[in-house]
Amino acid sequence: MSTNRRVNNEDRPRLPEEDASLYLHPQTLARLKTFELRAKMIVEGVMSGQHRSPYHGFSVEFAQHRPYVAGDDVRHLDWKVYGRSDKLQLKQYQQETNLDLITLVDCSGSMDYGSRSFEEASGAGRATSLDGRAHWSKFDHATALAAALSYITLRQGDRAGLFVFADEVRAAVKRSSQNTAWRQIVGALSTHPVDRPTDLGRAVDQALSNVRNRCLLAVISDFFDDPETIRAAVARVRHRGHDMIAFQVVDRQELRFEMRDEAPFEGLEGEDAIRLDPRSIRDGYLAAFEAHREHVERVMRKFGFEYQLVDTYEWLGPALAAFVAKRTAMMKRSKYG
Amino acid sequence: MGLLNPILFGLGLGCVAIPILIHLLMRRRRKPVRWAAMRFLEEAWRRQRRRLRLERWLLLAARCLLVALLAVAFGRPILRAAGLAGVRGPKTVHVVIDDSLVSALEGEGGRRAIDRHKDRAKALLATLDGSRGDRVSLLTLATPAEALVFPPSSDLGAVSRAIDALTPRASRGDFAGALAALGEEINEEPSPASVVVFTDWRGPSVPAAPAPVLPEVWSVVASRPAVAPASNMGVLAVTPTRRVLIGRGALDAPVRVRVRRSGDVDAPESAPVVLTLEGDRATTVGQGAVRFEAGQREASVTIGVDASALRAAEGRVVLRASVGSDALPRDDQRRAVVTIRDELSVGIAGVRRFGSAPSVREFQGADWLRVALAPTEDALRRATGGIEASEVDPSAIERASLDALDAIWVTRPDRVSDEGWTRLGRFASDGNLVVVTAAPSTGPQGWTEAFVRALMPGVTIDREPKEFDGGSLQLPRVTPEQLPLLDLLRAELDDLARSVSVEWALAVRAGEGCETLVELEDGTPWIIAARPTDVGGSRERGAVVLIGSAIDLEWTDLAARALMVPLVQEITRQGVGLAGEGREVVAGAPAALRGGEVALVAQDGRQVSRTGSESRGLRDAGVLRAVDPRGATRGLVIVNPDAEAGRTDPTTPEEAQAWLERAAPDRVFWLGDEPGDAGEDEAIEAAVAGDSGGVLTVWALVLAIVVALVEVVLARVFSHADQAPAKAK
Repeated sequence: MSTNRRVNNEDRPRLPEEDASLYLHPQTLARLKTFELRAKMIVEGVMSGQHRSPYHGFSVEFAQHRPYVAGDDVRHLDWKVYGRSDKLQLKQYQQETNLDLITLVDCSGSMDYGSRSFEEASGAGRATSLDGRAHWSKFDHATALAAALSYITLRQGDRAGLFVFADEVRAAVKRSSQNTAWRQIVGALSTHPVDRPTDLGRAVDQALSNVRNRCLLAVISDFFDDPETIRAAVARVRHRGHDMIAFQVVDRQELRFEMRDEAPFEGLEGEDAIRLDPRSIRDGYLAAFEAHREHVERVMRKFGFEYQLVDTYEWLGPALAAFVAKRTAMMKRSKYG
Repeated sequence: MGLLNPILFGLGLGCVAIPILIHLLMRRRRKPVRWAAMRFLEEAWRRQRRRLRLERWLLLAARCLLVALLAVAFGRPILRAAGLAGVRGPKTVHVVIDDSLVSALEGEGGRRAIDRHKDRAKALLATLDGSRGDRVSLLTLATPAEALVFPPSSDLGAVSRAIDALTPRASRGDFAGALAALGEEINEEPSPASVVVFTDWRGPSVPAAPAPVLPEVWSVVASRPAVAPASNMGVLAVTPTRRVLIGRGALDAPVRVRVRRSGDVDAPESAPVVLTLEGDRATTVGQGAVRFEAGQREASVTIGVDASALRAAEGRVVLRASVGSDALPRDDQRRAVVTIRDELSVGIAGVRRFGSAPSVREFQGADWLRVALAPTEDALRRATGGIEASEVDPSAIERASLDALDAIWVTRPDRVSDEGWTRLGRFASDGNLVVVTAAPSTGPQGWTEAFVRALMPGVTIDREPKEFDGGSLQLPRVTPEQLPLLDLLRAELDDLARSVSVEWALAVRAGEGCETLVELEDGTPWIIAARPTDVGGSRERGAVVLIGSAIDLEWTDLAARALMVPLVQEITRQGVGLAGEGREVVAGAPAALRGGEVALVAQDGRQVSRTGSESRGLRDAGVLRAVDPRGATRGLVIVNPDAEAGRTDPTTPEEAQAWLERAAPDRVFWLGDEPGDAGEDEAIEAAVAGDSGGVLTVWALVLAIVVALVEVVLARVFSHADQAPAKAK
């Protein structure tokens, strides 16, 4: 939308909204009242070069040029255009292949955690969310990411489906490329975490029970599950021939554990409270957390899947870029066998 | 092992509960933290639970141990030799024995208090071992307190012998002085020690001055105050009505003896008093009896002196008053010196007259004085002795002319030069009498400032005399004590003075050190007496008298009244006697040597004081000879027992405790009533174990510091506060 103006009026001072990264930042997104609008902003921020044909993906039939942005595959650069105009332009092709996206969003109790205040995250002067929460939870971050991924997929004319799960699937939207799918996805995401633990294996099984064709599974979760369960679930995805990208959403406090005062710690998934001094246990906690995170990443890499750590204090750009790259790679594999 | 302060130890142990309470309070309910990544927290907690619990217990144990060690330190632990032989370190004990006058008080079986003190001190010595490094010093309490063995010696045999040689002295106890004698030891870096005091705490044992504060590592052990009443009677003062007896005919001057009793004074009592003339052969010269009413503590008796005995004596004689013997014989005697002279030599510094004697109408002050001083015929005076008056030029007062005089009357002070006043001041300070009247002119008196400066700094005199228009004289309400020159006249003085009319008088205000003998109706001092201030500031010798009017009929009709002769005679005779006083000192006070004297020698030939040495108080009563460099006697010095020291009233334990507590707060221990009593051994042990207790206290404190440091380190390490924040992923 704004690319044209920016190309034509490069000397004009840019508005904050014109910076794509700002659209992808949770702080900016939180200003928007609906997921729908939020997802649109995110996607159009990432697909900042997309202008003439926002519905075109990467394919073999040339469709148009678009300016190069960081993260684009340099093999699609049109060097002839560069030779003539000194501008880096990417060649885009008409889409010929369809790729189904199934997004799995974790709504277990642990996803309700967030150390960041909603007021700071929203930046709009609101102290609480519409449902009265004062913190920006991991689930908030996850829903924004899920909506963005679905939006990108639907805009490409592909089918997008959604499963919201905890210990089992709590809400589902069948894969569809129709316009109504987007509404259904946004509606399914407008829920809350439940006081239940994560059971990724069961959720994956339920989600893939009726899927026959090859799909891309985007799992958005904190992966606070049994490591063996995670490994088994990922193995089953691979066994069925699907592809997968894992977004591990964590809060910065979970990453750093910088609390000081002794207090009882109460689990969000029904665990017993433990009274402890955070400083005395910090090293052990960080080691255990990092070991688990590395395990998740190692499992994903082992089966040839993508893994992306998402910090709720940071913008969604890297996650979306990883998704776009993964999707591109899959398209190529589909095209060239 | 025992504790010197078990109460503090108990309280301190109670404080061990404080860290435990803090530990429990820290576990109070806090707001729970909702946390998602519980599985990792649980994992870490399970892994480190034992270590964390160990850290908590270690910290709590260190804190409790710290408080307990402080409790032990405050409890002042001591090691008992019986239980831990060879463990205790060397001891330092300062033994203070009361050898003051009251220590001669005889108890049951005629045993003196000092003998009991000595026995107990030697019993204490028996518990010590010089070969093990134990050291003992020995101090005596009689003023001035003396350190007989100091610094502390490990030769316990020598200390024991020094204790054996102790005898009661004639001065009062001086606790503060005894403790101050340890000053050198106190001021050095103090090592643990005990001060053990053996006294009955009778009479003025507890001084008014606060006790010096002893080092904290010192303890004080004292014998308990005696509670049994002890009656005693002692001679408080011996006052001859005339200190100087002139001629051979009037030696029957009586002597007043004041006696005080202490202890049980509820019953009436009487005791014989005997006056003895000391010499090669003691001669009784008078006897009397002093009577006390019920409850009366002091009484006087005036005893006439046998003149025949005095006639045989010459110069200075020593009169000794003795009261009947009692449980404390040391204060039953007191001495006084009386000087016997053939005649007195008095100078009159007025206007010199040449040629024939003036008629009465032409009489000036000096003429009236000459008549008043020598009213009898010359022949009679020479036969019976009396006053020889001579003229002195007031404008040229020389030392040579003063040397031959006992007293000088200055009737023309306006003629005296500044140098003359200085010489008169020195003359008075040497133990002579100076009497000054106003100058005859009723105009401004320009001499007063020089007079005040040189002779009587305590008075203020206006330059302008004041007109009184026939004012009469009276006796002041306050009786003079230092210079009671008119005491013998006192009965008749009131009547005699009332007939005198005063027209003019100096406006005088008496200040410090001045005593008013006679005053005008409005209270203006008219006759004032004072001791002169000599170079050393001493006020024990000499007398200066100021008469507020000139002996002139324009000023007053005194010269024509009956008062004139007795007034002049009494001022001169008593003045000379009192001016030459000062050779009587109370035991405990120093006796200064006068010009030409080099030493004071006791009757047994022992030198007790000499020039160049520090002037110290004399502890024993007796008669000392002041000798010149050739050994010739220049005068006698009487050392009388300190009357206050003879008081046998017991001190309350509370008073004694309060005084000692200031010296060593919470470190005062009491011996039993008698050796072998319950508590005696423990107190002695506490005393001699004092330094071990101190050592253990120091060790407990050192350990407490070490534990405190360990606690700080542990708290720091176990708080994990130094953990670096994790890097942002």
